[in-house]
Amino acid sequence: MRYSYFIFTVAIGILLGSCKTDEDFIGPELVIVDPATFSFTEDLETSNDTIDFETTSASFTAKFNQRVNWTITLKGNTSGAIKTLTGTGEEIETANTNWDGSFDLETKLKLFQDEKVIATVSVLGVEETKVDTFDIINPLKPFVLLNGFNTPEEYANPIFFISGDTPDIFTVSQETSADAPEGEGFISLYGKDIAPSGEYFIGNFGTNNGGVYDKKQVLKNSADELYLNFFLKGEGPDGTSKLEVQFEELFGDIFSVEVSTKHTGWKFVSIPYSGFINNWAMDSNPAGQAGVREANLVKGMGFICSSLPSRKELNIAIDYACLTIGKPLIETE
Amino acid sequence: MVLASAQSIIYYQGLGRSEIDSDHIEGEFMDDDTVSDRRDLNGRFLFDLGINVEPGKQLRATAVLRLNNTFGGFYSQGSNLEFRQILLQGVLAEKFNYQIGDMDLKLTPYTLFNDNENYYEFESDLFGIRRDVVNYENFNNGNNWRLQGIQSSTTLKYDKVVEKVFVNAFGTRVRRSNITTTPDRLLLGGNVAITQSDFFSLGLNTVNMLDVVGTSNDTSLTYENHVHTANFALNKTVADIPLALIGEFGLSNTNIQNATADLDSSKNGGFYDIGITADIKKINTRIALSYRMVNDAFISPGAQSRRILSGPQNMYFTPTTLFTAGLNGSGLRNQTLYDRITDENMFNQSLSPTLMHYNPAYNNVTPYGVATPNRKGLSFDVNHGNKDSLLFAHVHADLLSETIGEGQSERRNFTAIEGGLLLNVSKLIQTKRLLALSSGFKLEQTKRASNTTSVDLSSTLLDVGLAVETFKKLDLLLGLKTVSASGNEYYNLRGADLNDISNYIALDMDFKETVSALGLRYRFSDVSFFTLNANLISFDEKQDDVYAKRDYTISQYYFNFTVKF
Repeated sequence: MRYSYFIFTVAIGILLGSCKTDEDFIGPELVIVDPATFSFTEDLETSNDTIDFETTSASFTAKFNQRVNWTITLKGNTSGAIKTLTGTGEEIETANTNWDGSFDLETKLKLFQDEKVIATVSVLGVEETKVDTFDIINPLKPFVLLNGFNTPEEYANPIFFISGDTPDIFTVSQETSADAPEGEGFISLYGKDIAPSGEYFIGNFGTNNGGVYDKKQVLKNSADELYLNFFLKGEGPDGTSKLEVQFEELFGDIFSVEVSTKHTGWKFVSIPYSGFINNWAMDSNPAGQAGVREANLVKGMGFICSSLPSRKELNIAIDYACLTIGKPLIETE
Repeated sequence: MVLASAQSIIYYQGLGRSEIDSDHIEGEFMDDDTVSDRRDLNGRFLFDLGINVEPGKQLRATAVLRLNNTFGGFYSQGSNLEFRQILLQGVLAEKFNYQIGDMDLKLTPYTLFNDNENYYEFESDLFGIRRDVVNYENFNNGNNWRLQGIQSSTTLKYDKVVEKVFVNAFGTRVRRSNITTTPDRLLLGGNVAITQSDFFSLGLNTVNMLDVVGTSNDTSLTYENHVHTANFALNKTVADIPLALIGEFGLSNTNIQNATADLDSSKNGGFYDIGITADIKKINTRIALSYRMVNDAFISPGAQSRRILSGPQNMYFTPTTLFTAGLNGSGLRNQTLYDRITDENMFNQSLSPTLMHYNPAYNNVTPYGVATPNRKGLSFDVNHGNKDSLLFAHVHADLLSETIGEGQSERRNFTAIEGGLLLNVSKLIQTKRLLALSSGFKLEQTKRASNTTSVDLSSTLLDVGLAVETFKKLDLLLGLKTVSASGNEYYNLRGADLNDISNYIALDMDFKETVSALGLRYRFSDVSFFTLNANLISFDEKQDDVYAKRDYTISQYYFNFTVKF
């Protein structure tokens, strides 16, 4: 018994000793100032009155009479898009406020447009703020916005085809809801597989003319750089649908990838073209390569909806389908 | 029901449930709103049938089939049939128990543990019934996580030095590869429990979460987390009172490699938890006192993942299923305590490698259970009786502080006291009719003394329940639940990398939520019943100048018919 006590005491002693830390605190420094003693010594100023993000980026400066936690909130006057920059110190410097036009993902997806931006600097613990405004042109945006699905008019341009399997039920409707990830509208897809068991396909929804082929010169031939992005409302873990996303190239090659619908609520999905798998190797172009992804030849995309198992229902929704170059629209873990 | 043949035994268990709710919302949140729903009617029927087949003593196969039908369809339109659980269990060589499939797993509160959400021990049966539904739908079976994989265990008995050694190992997949960008993620672990004698026992536990490189096209980002702990118990009876010295201590190691960003970062954390318990059987009371330290770098996804998807005030939360929007479609209804016990879409079923958001109004002291990082201090617990005794009472207190300041050197102090009592009046007046009164509370206070970054946040949760059996098996039920919170806090925003704090949000809150319920329950048996009740849910925002038009009231009629067999 004495031996057990000895082992126990030594183990606890080692552990207690090993858990000490020399740090003063964790995280960025939290500084709250007394409003009575605080003042701005230099107002917020943007690097230029007009920022063209194709050629430059924006930066900001300001000075305070003491060390503070500052936050610059950039808000698109039309889009409502938000970007926040934070830091700690007695001044805001150009070097640590470089803004490339990116946005913060809040409850809704909002992207900056060609618009006026209101920059507001605030200090933690102080009500007083300073404001500067500037215009932006050529902001960061999707390489191709396939469709935001916000209004019937937007949904109709470009036209998305709807092709249902007979005798299955397959409906696609433009709907509005406050919880749409972007804007107010989205596309709701409902289907029911009523064909004899063993056949799964319900319907196909997509576009043959999304505008991507128009930018073939930019795409060159790099499948690694092209990302398909969209928001997908799933059916939950008990879902009974199968969703495949498909790219079709100009001369017949088709590439697809399956996307899970077994999540609850909205989820952002981004897939690089390199992740698509060839399922129809046919290239009628004599100079083309059958079964090889050629991003500059992409002419359309579609959502292939099936029931899994057969004779079940599909009930999903899609919002803000777009293509980006180099990285996903929203970078997630 | 049991069917037996010469070759195999087949037996069934199941659950049938029908629910209908009719709802109406009004208040400032809906004023001048011409687009959002003000009334709602929902209903569904589901039937889970568990089929167990035992071909012999060495094997059992279990499949739970679910028929789910949302009311409003025409006959079976809108219904579906699916598997809810598939599990194979058996014994190898009469020594090793194993199971393959959908299984419930739990180790210690610091390694693999699905922590309870808030304090509800003494809530009314009317709320307990709703909570049971969302827990059942989300596979929250006790403090287990529902995982898919394989598990095996065995017990080895010895004549000398130790009495027995229990060995348990499991391997599960907690994230499925999407082929393109995210790889498969596994959770591998197990424990060895050594019982030396009635006096001494020792356990060694390990849980490891890691990405399987090569299971997706993108191999640039990989995650690894390892948690290794030891727990022990020293038991001795003094003056007829069994005493125990118990504890657990361990380390965590987390690595993230990001080839794109040329980043290879890691973090090592640790904790210890030591306490004594006394089981005073003469007065049916158990007392426990413990001290723990969990440092800020301790990362244990299996123990720190939260059951509810939540967020501070109206940020980072999952939209409510019932009456999602108001303010003419421009605002989402904020999540309330009532949604947290009735909305099954608000529950999380997976392990999160990063600390999830939480609402400080409901639990700011231990949002990630006892494994909440950056906490140290005393816990005290007294438990008298149980739910079947004349008086069941419980008090638990946490007197904690941070191990290190967040954003500045001053540390927060946390005080949480929760408790309640259940008085089985029927035992007092010696009647067989059910007559029980219950009341529970939770008081939380967070303080940080600082001239500039002070924190002072208080919240109070109150539960009252009454059950009266009016006619045989027919109970009149009453329930009241309120939560109020006021004060300020600086909420941490954390990056995806190693839970590092990236920024702070200054919160000011002052609100009160009330849920009152009145209903009837008819009990067919201990597990089968129907209830019909009326609920009134109100949210009262007291900072109308800051958060305009958030007040609302929801009135609801709810019917539940549940049969288990």
